[in-house]
Amino acid sequence: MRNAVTIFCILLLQGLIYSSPALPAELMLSTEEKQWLADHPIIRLSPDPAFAPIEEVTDNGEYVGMAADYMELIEKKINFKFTVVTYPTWKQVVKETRAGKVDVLAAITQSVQRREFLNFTTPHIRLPGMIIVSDRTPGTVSIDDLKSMRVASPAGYVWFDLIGYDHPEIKLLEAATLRQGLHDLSFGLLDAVVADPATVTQIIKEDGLGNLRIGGETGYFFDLAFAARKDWPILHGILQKSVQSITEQEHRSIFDRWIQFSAGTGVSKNTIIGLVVGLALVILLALTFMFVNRLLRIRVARQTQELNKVNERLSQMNVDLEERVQKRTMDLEKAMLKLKKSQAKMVQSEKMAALGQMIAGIAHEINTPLGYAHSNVMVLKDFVARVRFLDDIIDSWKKVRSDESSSKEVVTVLFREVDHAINALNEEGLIAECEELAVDTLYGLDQISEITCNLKAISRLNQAKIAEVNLNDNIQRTLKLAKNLLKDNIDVDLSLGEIPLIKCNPSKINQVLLNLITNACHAITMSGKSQGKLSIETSYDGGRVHVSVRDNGIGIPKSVGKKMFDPFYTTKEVGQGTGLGLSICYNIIVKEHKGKIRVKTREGVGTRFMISLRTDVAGSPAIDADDLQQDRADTG
Amino acid sequence: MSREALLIVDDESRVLRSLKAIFRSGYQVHTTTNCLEALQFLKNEKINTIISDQRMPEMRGVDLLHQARQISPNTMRLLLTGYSDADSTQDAINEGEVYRYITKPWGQDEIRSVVADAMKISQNLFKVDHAPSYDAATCIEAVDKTGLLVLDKRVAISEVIKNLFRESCEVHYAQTIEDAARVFVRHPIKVVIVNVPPGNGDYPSFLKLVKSQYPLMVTVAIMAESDSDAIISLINQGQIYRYVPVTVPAGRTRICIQSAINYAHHLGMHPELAERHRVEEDDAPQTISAVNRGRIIESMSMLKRRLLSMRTAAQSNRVQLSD
Repeated sequence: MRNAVTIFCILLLQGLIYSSPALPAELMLSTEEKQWLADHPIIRLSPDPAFAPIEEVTDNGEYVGMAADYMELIEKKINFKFTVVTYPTWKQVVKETRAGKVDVLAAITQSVQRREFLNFTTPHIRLPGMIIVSDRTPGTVSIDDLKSMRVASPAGYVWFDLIGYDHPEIKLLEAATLRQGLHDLSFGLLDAVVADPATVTQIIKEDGLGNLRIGGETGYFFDLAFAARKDWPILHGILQKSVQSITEQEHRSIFDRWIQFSAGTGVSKNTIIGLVVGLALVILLALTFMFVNRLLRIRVARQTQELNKVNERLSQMNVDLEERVQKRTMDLEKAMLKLKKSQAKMVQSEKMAALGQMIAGIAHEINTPLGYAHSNVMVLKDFVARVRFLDDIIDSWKKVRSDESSSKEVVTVLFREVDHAINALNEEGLIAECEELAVDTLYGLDQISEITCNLKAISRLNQAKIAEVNLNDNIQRTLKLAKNLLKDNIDVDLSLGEIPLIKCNPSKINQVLLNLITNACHAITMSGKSQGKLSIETSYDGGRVHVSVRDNGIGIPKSVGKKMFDPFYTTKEVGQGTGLGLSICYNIIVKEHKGKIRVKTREGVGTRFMISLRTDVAGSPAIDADDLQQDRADTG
Repeated sequence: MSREALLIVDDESRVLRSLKAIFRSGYQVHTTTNCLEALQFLKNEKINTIISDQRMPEMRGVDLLHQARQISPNTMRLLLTGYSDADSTQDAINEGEVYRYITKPWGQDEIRSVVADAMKISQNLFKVDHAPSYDAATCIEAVDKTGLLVLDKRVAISEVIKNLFRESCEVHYAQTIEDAARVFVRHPIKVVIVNVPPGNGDYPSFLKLVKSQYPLMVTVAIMAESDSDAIISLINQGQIYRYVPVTVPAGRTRICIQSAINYAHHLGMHPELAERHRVEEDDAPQTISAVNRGRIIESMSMLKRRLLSMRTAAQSNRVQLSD
C-alpha cells in the first residue's frame, strides 16, 4: 500500500501544476523596469531550505527544485541574476523577509499577515493540505477529527494561518521541520501532520517512514507564488509579468523534470500512465521489499529507542534506589543509635525506678531512726543544760576539800545543793532515761549507717567491677534494702546453702536480686493474699551456683510466655514499671554473665525464678559506666 | 487538775522512748507498739491526743486513727510518718481526719507545740462534753438547704454537683476567686468545693485562706494526683475535710460531698468544734493577690456574721419549741 500512496502522490502532483492560460513567451520589460533592475543589481532571493521537491538547498548549498527552475526561467526572461541567500529554516526565511533582509521569494503562499510585507504574483504551483497519519489511526481523517488529535505542521508554514483562522479549536503544534514532524508522527509522538503531499512524499521516500499514510484532505490548498518585498512594487510588476509569460510547455518541462526525478525513471509524462501498471508491479516489489526492510528497521529502531528509554529509566531508578537505600540506611543507623541510647537510658531509668521504690522505703527506714536519734540528742542536750548546776557543786566541793577551815555554813550549803541535785535526778529517773536515750541514739545511728552502707553497695550500678563474692551476702544485703516492701505481710524464708565464691559483677547481680524480689512482692500484693511467702534458696552443684526466688503471688499468665523478658513488656499499670526489669535481669545473667535464668509459674499459685551462674566465668558488662556517662553528656 | 493524756503508737520502741522523754514531764504518756492495745487504751482511758506511726505490722496508722475517731471523737489525732506517699496522705484526710500530719524526723519544738495545741483543743472538747459522736455517712435532715460553693474554672463539675445535690443544697458557682468572694457576700455558704487544676497554686491557697478565716467552713478539694507535700500542707494549713482525686468514680465523689454537707450541718449545731480545725499558718508563697485576699477576708467576715445570726435565730427557735 505504501508504494500506492507514493504513486498517488506523484500522480496528484502532476495535476497540481498550475495551468495558466497560454501567454506569449516573449517578455517585454518597460524601460523603467529595466532601469530599476539595473539600479538594483543585488536582489536577494531566499528559498525554503527543506521544501523538496518544490525547493531546497542541498548539502552543497545548491538551490534546487521546481521553484528554482522557475526562478532560472525568469532570470533568463528578464536577463537578471538573483542573489540566493540561505537560512537554516523556512521560519527564519519568513522572519528575515519581514525584517527586509530578503527581497524575493520563489514559492510562497499568500496570507493576510504576509501581505503586510510582501506583494504576491499569480500562483504558479498549487498544493493541497493533506492530513498525514500513521497506520495506528484507521480510516479517513477529516479536519474535524484533528480537534482531538496531537497534530503538527512545520513551523512557519501557511497551514497555521489557514487552519488556525477557520478552526481555532484545533491546536496545531509546531514541528521544527516537516521531517522532524513526520518522524515524530512515525514514532507515535504525534497523531497527525498537516503538510502538502509533494514534500511529504519526498521525506517518506528518503527516510523510509513506512508507517505513514495520507489520512485525508484538509480542504485547504496552498498556492505557491512569487513574492516581492512590499516596498518594491516595481519588482512585483516584473515578477508578475514573468509568471504570466511562462508557457504551458515551460510549466510542463519543469514538472516533468522534477516528477520524473521523483519517480526515478526517465519516462515522459505521456508514457507514465501507460507504464503505471507495469511500473506499479516493479515498484510494488521494490517498495514492498524496501518497505518490509524499512518497517523492520523502524520497528527495531523504535523498539531499540523504547528499550533505551526503559533502560535509561531503569538506570535512573537504580540511581534513585541506591540513593534511597543509602538514605534509609542512614536513617536506620541514626534510629538505631538513638534507640541504643534511649535503651541505655531506659535501663538506667529502670534501675532508678527499682531504686526509687527502694528509696521510698529507705527514706522511711532512715527517717525513723533519724527521728528518734535527733529527738534524743535534743533531750540529752536539755538534760545537760539542766545539770549544769553540777559544776557549781563541784566547785563548792573542791573548795571544801582544799580549804579545811571552811566554815560550817559553806559545808551546809554544799550538802543542801547535793541533796537537791540527787533528789531532782532521782525523782525524774533522768539518768536511766538519758542512758537509754543515748543507747537508742547510737543504735539508730548504726542503723542509718548500715542502710547507707548497703545502699552504697547495691547502688554501684555504674561500676562495672568484677569481684569474687558469695551470693548469700548479696541476697542478705538486698533483702535488707527490700525490707520495706516485705514488711507488712510477707514472710521471708531463707534457705542459703554452702556456696563457693563466684566471680561476677556484684552490683549487677544485686540489681537482678532486687528486681526479682520486687517483682515477687508485687505479685503477692496483686494476688490479694493475706499472707505472702517469699522463699530464697541457694545451692551449688559443683559447677554452678543456683539462686531460686519463689513467691506465692498472682503468677504469670501463660499468654505472657517468653515476652516477659522482652524490653518494655509490662503487665503493670502505666507508671508502675517500665517493663525493663526482667529484660535487664536477662541481659545481666545471660548475656553478661553467661548464666541461665529460668522461670516456673502458675497463675494464682506463684512464680519461681531460678538463676544459675557458673563459677568459672566472670561477667562482662555490656553497658558500662562510660556509655551511660556519654548518654548523659549527650542529653545534657 | 489531772494531766492530759497522750497516747503514742509506733512499732519502733525507740521512737516511743524518745517521744516519751519529750512529753513525760508535761503529760501523762501511754506508749505501745501494738495497735490493738492502742485501741484498748482509747476505749478504757480518756486520751486527749494520739500520735500514731503510719507503717505498722497490724494496721496502717490512718486505719488506727479512723477507728480512734469513732471510739473517741474528742481525741485529737496526729499522724507521724517516715515516708509519705500519695495514698497515705489522702487517707490521712479522708479516713483519719487527722489534725496534723507530722513527718519524721520531727523537730522537737514543732512536735511540742503541735501536741500542746492539740491538748488544749481536746481539753475544751472534753470539757464541753456534749460534742456528740456523729456519723458522716448518715444523712442529717437539714432544715434549710445548705449553701454550697463550687469554685471551678470549667463548669462541667459544677453542673454535675448541681444535679446531684439540687434537692438538699443551693449550689453556687464561681469561676474565679473574685466570683467566690461575691458568692460569700450574698449567700450563706457552708461548704466549699474547689476543683484544683493541676499546677495551680491559687486554689490550695484559697482553701487555706477560707479555713483560716472561718474554721466552720467545710472544704473539699477535687484535684489530680499531687505530690504528697502539697497534700500535707492542705491538712496542716488547710484542714480540708475531704480530698477527692479526680480519678475516683463519681459515686465516691458524691459520697465525699454528701459527708461534707453532713459535717457542715454537724458543725453548725456544734460550733465549738471549730477549734478542732485550727490551721497552721500558710507558709507557701502567696499567689493570691493582696486585693483578692482582702476581698475574701472581708466577704468571709460578712458571711460569718450572717451565719451567726442565722444560728442564733435557729437556737431561739429550738428554745421556743422546747418550751
